Amino acid sequence: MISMSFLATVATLALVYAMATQLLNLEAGWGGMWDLGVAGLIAVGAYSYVLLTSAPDAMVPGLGLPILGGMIGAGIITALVAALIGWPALRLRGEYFLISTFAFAEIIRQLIIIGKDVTGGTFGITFVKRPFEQAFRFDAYPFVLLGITAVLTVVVYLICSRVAGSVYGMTMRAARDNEPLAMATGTSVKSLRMSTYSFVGLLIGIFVGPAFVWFLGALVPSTFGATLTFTIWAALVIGGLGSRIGPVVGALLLTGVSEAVRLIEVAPQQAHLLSAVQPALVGILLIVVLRFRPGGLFTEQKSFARTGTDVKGELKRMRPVGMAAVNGGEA
Amino acid sequence: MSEAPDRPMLTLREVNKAFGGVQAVRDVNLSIDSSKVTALIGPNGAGKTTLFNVISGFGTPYTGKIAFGDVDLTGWAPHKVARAGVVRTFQTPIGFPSMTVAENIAVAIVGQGLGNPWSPFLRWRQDRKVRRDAMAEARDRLAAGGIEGLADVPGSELSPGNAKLVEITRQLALKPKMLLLDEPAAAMATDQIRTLSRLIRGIADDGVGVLVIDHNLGFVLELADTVHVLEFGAVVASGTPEQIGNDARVREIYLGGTEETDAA
Repeated sequence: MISMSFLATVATLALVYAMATQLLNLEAGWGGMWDLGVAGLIAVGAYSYVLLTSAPDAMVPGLGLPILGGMIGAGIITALVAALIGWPALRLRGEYFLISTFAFAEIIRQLIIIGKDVTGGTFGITFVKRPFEQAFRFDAYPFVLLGITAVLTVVVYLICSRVAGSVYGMTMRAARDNEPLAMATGTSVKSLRMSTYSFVGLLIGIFVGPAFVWFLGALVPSTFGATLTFTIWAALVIGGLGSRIGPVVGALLLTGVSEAVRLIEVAPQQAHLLSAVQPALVGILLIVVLRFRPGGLFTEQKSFARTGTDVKGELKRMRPVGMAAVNGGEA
Repeated sequence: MSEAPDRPMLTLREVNKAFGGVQAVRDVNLSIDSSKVTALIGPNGAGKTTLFNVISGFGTPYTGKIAFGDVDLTGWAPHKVARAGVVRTFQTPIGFPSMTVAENIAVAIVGQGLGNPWSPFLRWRQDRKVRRDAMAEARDRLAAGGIEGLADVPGSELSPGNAKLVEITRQLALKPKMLLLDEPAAAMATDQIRTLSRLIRGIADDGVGVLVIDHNLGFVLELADTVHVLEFGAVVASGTPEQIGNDARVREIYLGGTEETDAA
């Protein structure tokens, strides 16, 4: 028997992923920055939020700020960390940027483990401040949390939509399509990317970090490993890189499919087999979607253009145009 | 050769550029006038594109100086060179493939003031107006060039010839004072080349200096006011198209081994 509160919890997780996927889409889909360090930024947002809001006399002491203050503070801290990572990493192109963000995410996780006096180390933090928790009964709270997360997801969607239709969004997609040409039309691609990366950090800190913490109810560093990054990337690729509603649909679909496995009842001795099925399902979903819709379920072309022509092989042309375009075919 | 303050001249002095041991550009001295079409010709590997990159900020000269009027452009980043009014096109006109042609041009028109994450939220009204005006201007510019039919075509679906025209239209939308055209006639049909020549002549007549690199000798000699010949990174001959066309040495080095003698 499926309990309603289980469904509410799964839906909450799906919406947290939907927020993260939309922000990754802003950064990677439109901004052309293939960031493999999303989990690191989410970790910074989550830990900042908890440390800002926990009571000063808790086991892992915090500053005791109210929830809203904690969210904004987490946003600012995450934006600063993103700027710090972006400053060296954004000097690199394509694959090299990707690898270095991946490394930074791992460094952040290791720092959380090492700094156990501040972060609780591998033992983690077992108490977090959640909005309106005292006002509701224990068994009603999952639905309250679902409602709050849904509101935040809508806010993130509206923010991303506005960016998509703005001069900034246009400039960003242009710089992604053809970096040398964007520079030749007067765009400082470097500062554009730097501000985009910090902006994404800000939004992850305000929305994704705290919402993820509320969902989890506790914090341990292992949550923020590479698996989290790849789950969000998988959701983005399934939904359609560069599209508007795609990231939301991708995240909901991915979470729905992989959490549905938990509903299957098996004998305890087979439970480990079941947990192995989950990542396999994600892989199968990814393969099936990419086999029949190489650009994902939704495409950027459909999201933006009024011509309605569908371009095949979206992923191929997402690759940034390098210096080869400057140098032409010859010397 | 008087230089009006609003019609600056592009000057290169003793410009050198090397890649490892290969001297791609050596001791180049050039002056490119406003309101004139100046051409740079030379065989493959002569350093034409390298010289273009050095001017437009895509490569720093090893030694030497690049000045635009009183402004020293040496070592400037590409976006600053473009904002100073020295605008280039690219040999391979990929454009912005995920956008329509009209959007391709609008991107150049919107300018840089709103290109940051805060503008969509703090200056939304202005943002919307700038975008609408830019799209309207883009369509006007396409209509003026006789290619208004391309406005809604995705950038990735243009024919090579049309892509070249869109490339020039886009870069013109930046209102350059000096326009650098990297092989504009390549991949173009004969009748398109005629349209292109008229277009370029019109740009120069409006007071913009034009520097053209091209392989098509007939096109260049017919169009240019002044021609410079580059070989192994150095300027080996300069003069009017007639002088260059009749220069025995030029015929030998430039036309000797290639099949482009009959390109006219």
